[in-house]
Amino acid sequence: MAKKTTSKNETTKEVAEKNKKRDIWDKLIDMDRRKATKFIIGGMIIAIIFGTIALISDSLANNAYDWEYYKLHENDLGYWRGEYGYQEFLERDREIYAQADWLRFQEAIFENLARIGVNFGLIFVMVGFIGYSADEDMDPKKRQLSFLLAALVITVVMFSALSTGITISVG
Amino acid sequence: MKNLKSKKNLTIFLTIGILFLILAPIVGEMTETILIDNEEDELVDQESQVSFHNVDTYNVSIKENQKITIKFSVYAQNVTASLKIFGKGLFDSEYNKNDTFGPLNVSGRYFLISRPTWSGDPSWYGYTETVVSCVQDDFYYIEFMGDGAPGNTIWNEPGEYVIFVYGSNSFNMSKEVIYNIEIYIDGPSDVIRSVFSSIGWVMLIVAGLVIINNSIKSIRSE
Repeated sequence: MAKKTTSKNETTKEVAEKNKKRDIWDKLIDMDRRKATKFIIGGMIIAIIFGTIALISDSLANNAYDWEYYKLHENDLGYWRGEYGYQEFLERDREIYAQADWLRFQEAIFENLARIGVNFGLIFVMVGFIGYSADEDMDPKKRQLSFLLAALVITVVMFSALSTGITISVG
Repeated sequence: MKNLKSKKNLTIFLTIGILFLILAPIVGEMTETILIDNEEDELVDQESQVSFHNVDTYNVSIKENQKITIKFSVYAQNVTASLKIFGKGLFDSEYNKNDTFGPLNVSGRYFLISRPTWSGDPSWYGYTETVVSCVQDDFYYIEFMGDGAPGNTIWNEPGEYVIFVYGSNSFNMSKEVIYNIEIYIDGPSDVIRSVFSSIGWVMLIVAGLVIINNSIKSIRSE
């Protein structure tokens, strides 16, 4: 990068300070191995936390019907036991339907938020691998592998952003 | 020292948070209904079926989406006690007119009677009436929200209402009508549940933020 020279309005000190400030891309490429590892670990933790949120949200939505049937039956029992009257029974019935609807719908909100979080974490991981691949002290094969892994991570991020998601089935 | 203080704060936040989350449904359930009147072996003269001036009255105020629950029963012999609910306006005008057998003849508002029976669906055993008459060992579970329609529908009409009881005694030597009544009104359970659970979650989130803050500090100090 060509160094800036003094103009009429800039003092020598100001120019020196500007030259000191490197842009973000330079910083990323020049990151050391330790920093790259931190990025990968941090990114993985973020991705795992948001991934867990997505799994919980999905599980709640999938089990909403079972929960609804259980609560409705429990409501019947409450009325039959004489704990409350028919109007209260109806009110509780309606509330159960609304809560079950919310349990099914919350997936749309929390899974999308979680997807953003996972992608954010994966971008950190990708930057970490790019950091490895840009490290000239590293074994060239490991650098190539790191670059491939960074490419794989960004492919996953793009797929999960542009399609409904990637499913891995174990069985 | 600072670390100890932070741990103490964390424990306080976590404890209060979990405590409030546990208490939310318990306190909510406890305040589901509030007892506003409980009369056992209450006496009303049998003249009450002739004149509005002799009936036993209970004033209630119904707010938006609120209902009252009445448990009405008679244990005494020879007694027939009846319960009706009027709007306060109608009751005041009937009280002033004081027509003979007014309490017996003027129609009240619809309320819902529940008869929980294990042998059938709940919807088969809830029905509306404008009057209930209790004889010996009868018990009625009544819900009222302002008004209703024949069948099993009541709805909310906020306002002032008067529950009144009149009756007769078939025994020649007695004019006393003895009955029991309990009146409950919907409590602030929903608000209490929301407030308690909100405080609980806020405390847990604060505790989570303290944990994150402490972790960042410890990583930086290494």
